[in-house]
Amino acid sequence: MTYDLPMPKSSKHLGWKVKIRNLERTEDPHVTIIWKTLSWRYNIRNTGFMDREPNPDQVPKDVVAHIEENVEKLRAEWNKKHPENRVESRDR
Amino acid sequence: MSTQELTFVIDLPDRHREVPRPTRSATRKRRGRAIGATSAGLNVSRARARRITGRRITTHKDLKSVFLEERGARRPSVFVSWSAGNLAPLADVIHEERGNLRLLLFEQVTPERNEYLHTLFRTVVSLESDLHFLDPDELTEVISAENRGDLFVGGAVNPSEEVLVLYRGSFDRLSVPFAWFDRKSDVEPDTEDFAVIDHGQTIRLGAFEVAADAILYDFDSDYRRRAKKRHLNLDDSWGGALRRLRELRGVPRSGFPSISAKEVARIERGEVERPRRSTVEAIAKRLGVSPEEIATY
Repeated sequence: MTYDLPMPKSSKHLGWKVKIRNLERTEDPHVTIIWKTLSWRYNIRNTGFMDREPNPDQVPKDVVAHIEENVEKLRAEWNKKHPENRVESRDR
Repeated sequence: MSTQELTFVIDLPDRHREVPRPTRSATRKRRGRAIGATSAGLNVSRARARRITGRRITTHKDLKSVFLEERGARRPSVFVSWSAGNLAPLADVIHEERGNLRLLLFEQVTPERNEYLHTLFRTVVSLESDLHFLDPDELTEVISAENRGDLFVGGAVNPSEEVLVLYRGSFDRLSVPFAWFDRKSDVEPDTEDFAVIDHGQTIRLGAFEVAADAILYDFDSDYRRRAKKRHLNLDDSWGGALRRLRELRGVPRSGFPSISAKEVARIERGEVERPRRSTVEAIAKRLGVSPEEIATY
């Protein structure tokens, strides 16, 4: 089952979602921030955006702060879904 | 999406619309809301079509000239029409070939009219068919989006061939074998419960969700090239590409019969300067690509 990070009301109301889906383009462990037709991959091993496009500055700071506040929970959820690409794996 | 790709919304005075008849979708259970099965529904469809961003075509003359121009330009342009009757003015256009045009219709068409439309357009998609589509409001936004070609708008499950056929926002089709979805996960994909969600960014198979990005990365080399370019800290070595492909396919390092997990790890880390040809071939075979393709991941 996909993990949907519960969002603060204001962000949820504007349509922001943060997900870890069952099948992602794996690479580094990450969450996907989804807003309408756009999405951003956010690395939860090193914390930071993974792609230069779409522009990470378009993501509200409170959405990023919410991810960082919940990063341990997100790491645990990632490990459950992707046991062969665990966050703490050093063999990268 | 290519900058050459254009959208045209056909909004003519409708004198040729087919009389609506009860549709299968109006009587069967479906996840999305049914569109356009009644006169009121057609008005809703018309309003939705009008919300799509694109060049508006409001006269028969304009429709003919745009159609001919786009067909000649061989651009993958998308024509959107809330009514099949809107296309009647094209009946007297002499056409030898259909170019690269796609048509999105908001209503159901008869099989005869569908055949005719296929002589004009390479792809004809009716929202009133047995295909599953995005929620209509999201669909409107996706078709108007610049990146629509990288989003999915709908699809159909084909249990006989065990493939999922997906439509992109550009109305290009892509087929994904069921086997591709087989991964170690807390839930199994359920192909009998298919939906496109998150504005075309997620494919849902029961409780199992797949990123559209993961599908496109594996099935579209042009998307892969663009995605790699966007990546901020990409390990662009051959070993890095192998690791991405292996993880995308859900194959553990121990999953190569003739190669040890240690050896795979060394190759991925770049510690093997030039892997043997036979090793590369064995890896490629297990991952279902040609040896040359590995570097593109």
